[in-house]
Amino acid sequence: MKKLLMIIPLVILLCFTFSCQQQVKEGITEEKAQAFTDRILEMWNEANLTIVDEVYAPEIVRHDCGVPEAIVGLENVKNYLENLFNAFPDLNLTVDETIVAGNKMAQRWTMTGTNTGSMNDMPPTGRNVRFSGVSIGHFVNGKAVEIWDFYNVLDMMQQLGFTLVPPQPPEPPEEIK
Amino acid sequence: MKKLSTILPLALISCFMVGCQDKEAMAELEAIKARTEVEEQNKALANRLWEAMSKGDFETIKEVGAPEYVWYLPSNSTKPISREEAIEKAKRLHSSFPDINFSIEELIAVGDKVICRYIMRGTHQGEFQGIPATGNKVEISGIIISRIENGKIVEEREDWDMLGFMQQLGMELKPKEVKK
Repeated sequence: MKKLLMIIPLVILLCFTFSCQQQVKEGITEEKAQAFTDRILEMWNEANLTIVDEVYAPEIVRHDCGVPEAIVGLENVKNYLENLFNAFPDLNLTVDETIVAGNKMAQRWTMTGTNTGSMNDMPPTGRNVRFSGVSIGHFVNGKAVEIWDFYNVLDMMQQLGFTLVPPQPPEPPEEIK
Repeated sequence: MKKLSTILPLALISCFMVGCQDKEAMAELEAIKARTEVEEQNKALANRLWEAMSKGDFETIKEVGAPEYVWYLPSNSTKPISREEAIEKAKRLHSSFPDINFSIEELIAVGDKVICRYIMRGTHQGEFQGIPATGNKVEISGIIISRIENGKIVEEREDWDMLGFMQQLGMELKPKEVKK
């Protein structure tokens, strides 16, 4: 009997929890997603690196298809952003679509900018770029822990004046021509 | 003991009722259930498409897409690709990469959308976009967002690492030569 007395409250508790469990929204709410997006936009569009600590967790891992290795940690993310902000001082990001699912968020975006600063060891080209991308972010406690970014790097580089060429054979001596 | 066995189910029912007594809450619960069901169906549809893409089952690829299907690649493209063009592209991909395989790294369903992060692997055994077979193994990822209506895919928006793909086929990125 004593055992039952313990079980009954437990069962009652359980069925209360289950009966309306789904009403309690887990993960990111639409409002939180909007707030996060606003901060991200400010970070990119105002070149505000102080927002990095606010929106990304210390263990952040960014997979960027334009960068061969994953960018890990807040400092590396800041360096990566700083490089971009230097290369494209008028960089502008717009978010075209946001889809929220639990602790995950997908976004489609468009970026524009003018390459008036040097990018890594590449001198400024003075050209405008405009390209789109799709990202997926995973969140823990409201901060992004892992992000995958895909965008058309080839299109961006072509806009900067680059072109794809087949592997170049060693140049033949002039006389043969 | 007998008493308890009658009380217990009663207690259970009543607390379920109290827990979700609110008609609005019940309706919401029903809506969530219905949505979850649709999302599961949409996921299954996306999985069917990926499987068909790996196998080269072009009949299934055609079947999962609506006749008015459009594919935006890159995701903000102003020239969407039709279902028939998409099938032609898939056929060309299979003749260049006969062992092509799509691995689904992440599949998220929300409402009428399914978001998929994939890795495509294959061996370059036939000519592709003017590049003769190199025998190179390629491994490339991307994200595609599909919208589903009445059990068919109507729209897809995708971005992937096109540059990485071309580089794995041996192409090089060079500044355009200034003509003298």
